[in-house]
Amino acid sequence: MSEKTVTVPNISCGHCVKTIEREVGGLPGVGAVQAEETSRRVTISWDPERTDWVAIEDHMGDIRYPPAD
Amino acid sequence: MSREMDVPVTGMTCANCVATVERTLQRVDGVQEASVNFATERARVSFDGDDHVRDELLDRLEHAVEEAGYGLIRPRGEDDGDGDAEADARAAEIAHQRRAFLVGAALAGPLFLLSMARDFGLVGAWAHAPWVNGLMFALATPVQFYVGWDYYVGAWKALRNGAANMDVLVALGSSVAYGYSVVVMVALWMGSSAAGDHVYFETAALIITLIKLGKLLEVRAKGDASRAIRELMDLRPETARVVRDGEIHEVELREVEAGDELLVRPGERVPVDGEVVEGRSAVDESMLTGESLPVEKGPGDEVVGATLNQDGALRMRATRVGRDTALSNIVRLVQEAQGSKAPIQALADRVAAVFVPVVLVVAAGTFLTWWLVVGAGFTPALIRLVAVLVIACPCALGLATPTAVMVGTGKGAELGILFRSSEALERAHELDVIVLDKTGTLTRGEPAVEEIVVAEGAVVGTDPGGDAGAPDRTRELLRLTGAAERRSEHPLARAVLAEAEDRGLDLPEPEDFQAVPGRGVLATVEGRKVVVGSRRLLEGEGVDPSGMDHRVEELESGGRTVLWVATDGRVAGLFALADALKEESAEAVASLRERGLRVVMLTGDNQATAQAVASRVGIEEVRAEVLPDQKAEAVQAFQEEGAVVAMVGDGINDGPALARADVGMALGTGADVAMEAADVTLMQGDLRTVPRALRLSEETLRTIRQNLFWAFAYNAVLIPVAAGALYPVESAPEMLRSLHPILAALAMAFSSVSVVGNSLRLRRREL
Repeated sequence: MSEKTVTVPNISCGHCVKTIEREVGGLPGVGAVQAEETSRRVTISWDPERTDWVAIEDHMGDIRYPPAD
Repeated sequence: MSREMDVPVTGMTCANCVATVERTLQRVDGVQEASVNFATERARVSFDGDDHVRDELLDRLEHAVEEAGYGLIRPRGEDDGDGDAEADARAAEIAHQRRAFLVGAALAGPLFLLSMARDFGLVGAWAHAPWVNGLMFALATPVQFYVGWDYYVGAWKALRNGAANMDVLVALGSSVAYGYSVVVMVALWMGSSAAGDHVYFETAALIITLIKLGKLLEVRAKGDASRAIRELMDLRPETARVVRDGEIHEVELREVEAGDELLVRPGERVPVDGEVVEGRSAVDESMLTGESLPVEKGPGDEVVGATLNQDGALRMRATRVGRDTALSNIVRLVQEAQGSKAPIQALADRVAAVFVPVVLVVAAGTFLTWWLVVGAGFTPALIRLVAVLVIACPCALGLATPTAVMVGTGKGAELGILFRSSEALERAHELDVIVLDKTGTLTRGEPAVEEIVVAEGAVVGTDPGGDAGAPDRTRELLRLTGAAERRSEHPLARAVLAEAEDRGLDLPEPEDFQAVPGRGVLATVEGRKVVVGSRRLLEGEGVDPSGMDHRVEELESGGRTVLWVATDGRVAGLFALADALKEESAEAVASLRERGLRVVMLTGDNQATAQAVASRVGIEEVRAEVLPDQKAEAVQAFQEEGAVVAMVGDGINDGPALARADVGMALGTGADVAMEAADVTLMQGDLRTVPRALRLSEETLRTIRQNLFWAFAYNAVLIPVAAGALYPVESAPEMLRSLHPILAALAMAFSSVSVVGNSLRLRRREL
C-alpha cells in the first residue's frame, strides 16, 4: 500500500471532510482516507497495483477539493 | 415535458456544501438538472414525469442527500414546502391525545359505574359473578396499555435520569392496581381468594383517563410557536423588479442576487437589503426600529428588506439577500430564542418528585413490617403493599393544574389578557425584572404636536400687520398648516391634523396640493402659498429659513422632530412633534415597582430622549441605543444574572426579545409578529393590565397549589390506613382495619370534586 498526506485548502467544514472521505474512499483501489477539518490535511492510502496518485488527484479536482501543490 | 420543483435542503454550512449537494442531486436517477442556492437553502430540481414520478424521485433524493450528510425537507404537494412541520406536529399531538382520551373515557366510564354500583350494592348479585371481573379486565386493558402508553414511556425516561415525576407515579400506581387485579381475578377463577377478593381495574383506568384529560387540556392550551415565524416571512414581498440589461424583469425573491439593481415603487416593500442608487423617498422602518416616523432615504443610504417604501420610487442595489438580510436575522433570533426557553418543571412534577420516593419507602416498610416483624405471611404483606401503592396514586392529580390553568386563562381573556401557554401563566408571578420597550409601549408610538412656534413678524393672520394676540396667531398658523396637510398621509401631517381637530378648527380645502417625497408638501390655501416640511424643502422653494435655527436646535434637543412652515415665501413658524407618553404609563410603572419588580426601559433611541421619557414615567434604569438585534441579548443578560425576566413590547423588532424573555408580553395594539412571539397578549394595549396579569398568575398558582393539596390529601390520609396502622385497634371498624376498596373509591371521588370546585372559585377572585 502507498500512502500520501496532502493539504486541501478548500476544506471549510465538517461536511467537506465527510465528502472527501466518502468520494475518495469510494474509488477502486483506495484504502483508508482520513481528512481533518482544522488542519485541512488529508491522508490517503491506496493499492498501487489497482490505481495511482494521478487518478486520485484528478478525482479530487472533480469534486472540487483539489490538493495544494 | 420537463417539470421543476423546489426542495429545501438543511445542514449546508459552506459554499463547498452547495457543490456537494448539487453533485449528489445530479447523480440521482431521474434528475435532469439540479441547482442549489446556499442563501435560501433550497434546491431546484428539474425532472420529467407526473406526481407519482415526483414522489418516487423525492424518496431517492431524500436518501441520497441524507447519505451525503445533509437533510432534505419534503415539499407537500405543489406548495413549495416552507415547512409548517411544527404546526403539523402540534395538530398531530392534539389529535393523538384526544383519541387516547376518548378511548379512555368510553371504556373507563362504564367500568367506573359498574364498579361503583357493585361496591355500594346498587345492583343485584349478578355483579359478583366471576365473569364480571372478566368484563372489567376487558374494559381496563386497552386503557392501561393504549391510553396509558405515554406514561410508561415518560416514566421510563424519567427513571433513566434518576428522577421521579408525575408519569412515574401514574405508571406505577395504575400498573400496580391493574396487575394486582389481574392476579386476584385469575386466583378467584381458580377458586382461591388468597390474594384478596376485590379488583381495582376501575382505579387504574380512571387514573389514566383523568390524567389524560388534563394532558389534552394542556396541549390544546399550548401556543403555536411557528406562527411568529410565518408572520415574519409574510413581511417579505414575493417578487422583486430587477433591472437587467436596461430592462425590468419581475422575478421571484429568491432569484435576486447580491449586486442586482432593483426598482421599488411607492407603497411597496423593499425586497432585500441594499443601498439606494437613485431616487428619494421616505421609508417606514418601524419593523426594524419600532420608530413610527418614516426615514428619509436618498442615494447612498442603506435600505432594509421588508421595510415599507412610502412616497417615492427608489432604485437600489441589493447587498444582502436570502438568509443574510436583517429580516432573516430577526427570524433566526426568534427561532433561537423560542428554542432556548427552558421548560419550567410543572408544579405537579415537583410534588411528585418528593411524593413518589416517600410512597415507595412507606410501601416497602409496610411490606417488610407485615412480613418480617408482624409475621403475617408473604401474601398478606404483599396485599398491604399493593394497597399502599394503589391508594397513594391520586386521580385528581392530572386535573389539578389544567383546570386551574383553564379557569385562569378564561378569566384572563375576560380582562383582555390572553395567555398563550400555561407555562407563562405559571411563571408570571415569580418575575424579578420587567423590561419595557419605549416606543409604542410606554409611548403612543406616533407623533403628536407638543409645541407650535410662530415666527416673529410672520404674516399669518387674515389681517396682515394687524395686532392679533399670540393665541390667535398660533391658531391661524395651525389652520393654514392643517389645510395644507389635509391630503397628506404622512404621520407628521396626521399629527398636525389631529391637533387642529382637538382645537376645533375648521380647515379650508387646499386649492392645489403637491407632496414632495420625503420632504413635505406644497399647497395653496385661501390664495396663499404654503410650504410645510423639512428645512431643505423650504430652501428649495426659495425661502430663507436661517432666522429660526436657534429655536430649532432647542426644540430638537429633547428628541423632538421639527416641521417647518412657510407662507408666501417667508418662514411662518415651527411645529415641534414628539412621541407622546401614554397617560397610563406612569401609573402602570408605579404599580409594578410597588410589587418589588425591577423596572427597566429598553429603547433604540438616544440616551437623552430615553432619559427624558424614563423620568416622566418613573423608571430609573434605562438601556438606550440598543439595536434591534441586541434587545434579545439585553433580556438574556438579565437572565444570566439569575433573574426571571418579562419583556413588554409591541413591535416586530421586539419579537426576538419577547420570545427570549421568560414571559413575553405583547400589546394587542402592536404588530402581529410581536403577539405571535410573545406568551401573553394584552388586548387593550393598556400597560395597566400588566400588573393585573401578574396578579392573575399569582392567584392561579395559589389555586394550583391548593388543588395539589386536595388531590393528594384524601389519598395521603388513607395511606396509613392502607399500611394497616389501624389494624391493631380492634374497636375500629373492619373497613378501616384492612383498607376497604370503597375508601379508595371515595378518596378518588372527593379529591376530584374538591379540585374542580376549587378551580372554579378562581373565577370569582378579585384582581
